Amino acid sequence: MPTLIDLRRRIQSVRNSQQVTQAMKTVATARYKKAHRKVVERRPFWHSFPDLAISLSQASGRPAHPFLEVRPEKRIEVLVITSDKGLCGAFNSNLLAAAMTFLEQKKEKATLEVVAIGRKAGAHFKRLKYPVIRSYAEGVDKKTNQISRELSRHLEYRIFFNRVDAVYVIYNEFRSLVAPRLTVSRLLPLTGQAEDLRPDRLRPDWEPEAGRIIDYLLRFYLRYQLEHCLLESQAAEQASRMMAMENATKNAEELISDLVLLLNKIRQASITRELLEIQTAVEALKQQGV
Amino acid sequence: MNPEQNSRLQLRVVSPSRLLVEAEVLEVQVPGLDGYLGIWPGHRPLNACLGQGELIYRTVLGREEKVNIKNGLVRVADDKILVLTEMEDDDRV
Repeated sequence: MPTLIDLRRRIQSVRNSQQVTQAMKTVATARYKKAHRKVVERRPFWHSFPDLAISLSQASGRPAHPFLEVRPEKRIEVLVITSDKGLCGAFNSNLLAAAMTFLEQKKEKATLEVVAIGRKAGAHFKRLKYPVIRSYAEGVDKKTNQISRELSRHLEYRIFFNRVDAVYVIYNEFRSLVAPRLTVSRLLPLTGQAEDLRPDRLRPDWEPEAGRIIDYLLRFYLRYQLEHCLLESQAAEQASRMMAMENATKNAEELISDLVLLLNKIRQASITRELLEIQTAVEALKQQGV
Repeated sequence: MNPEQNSRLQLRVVSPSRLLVEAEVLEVQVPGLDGYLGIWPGHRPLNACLGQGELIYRTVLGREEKVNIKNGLVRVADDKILVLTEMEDDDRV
């Protein structure tokens, strides 16, 4: 049976943790709102873009751009996007588990290379045998722009010089507050449905010539697609952290109420016991006829 | 120009960070690589790269409005104009 003083200490310590989780929740909420706004504002762009890219490149009637060329996947590059910090529920562990399953699956047929984005991914892949060719840690959320630019250059290089056949990205997509959606998608080569082009009555003019426009457009696409993935992941991270901290605060609340109940029971028990002892002593004295 | 054609254009300007303009307009001028391109209703299909400058459009009320854009692409088809631009946050005129 714990003593009263132990219980009081314990309650105090749970209360302190609760304050911390509460504060973290508030911070996460603010960050989440910001990240969420960014993602939502970007949606119009993503609704117009991929179809446009593909239909334009088909309409151009040119040999396929390297970004569109589907080759047997012998060499694969995998981008894994996690967060820098923990305390966001199963956000990173689910993602890394999915990444591992994916890598195991592809391992037999292809050589794999990993780009780890976020400190958690870096730490995870350090212990494993997969070659990590690039990793970004620390302040990924502040350097989104720079990272996406660097990475897209890197990928362009890899694709143009035929170093990889396909690029996959594994990240948490922001869907709702409750749970992020784990997404494994192929970034390159780009495939998809072309928007239903009515055969134009007139052939379109290209200025400058089609090949250059397509090239520009696809690079543009790659860079902002990467940025988009990073931002989605950040919004999802803050949302999961918010939920995790809310649950922690709730749990602390429950724990405190249980502990307070126990404390009161023990206190009451000791009062009752003392009363009984006094009563017994009084009775004993009475019987002795004092 | 085909007479049955609409005398208005659907303009949509998007950047990776947000939707900049979505409007029905009478006329648009975009900064092409070699100078401004004027686009009126009934323009033939066009895909062109853009430079840096102001995109000027006239709304159905006849008012002239401007948006700063930097690099990008314009696609004109069926009196619909889609402009993709790299412009980053908050440079709106």
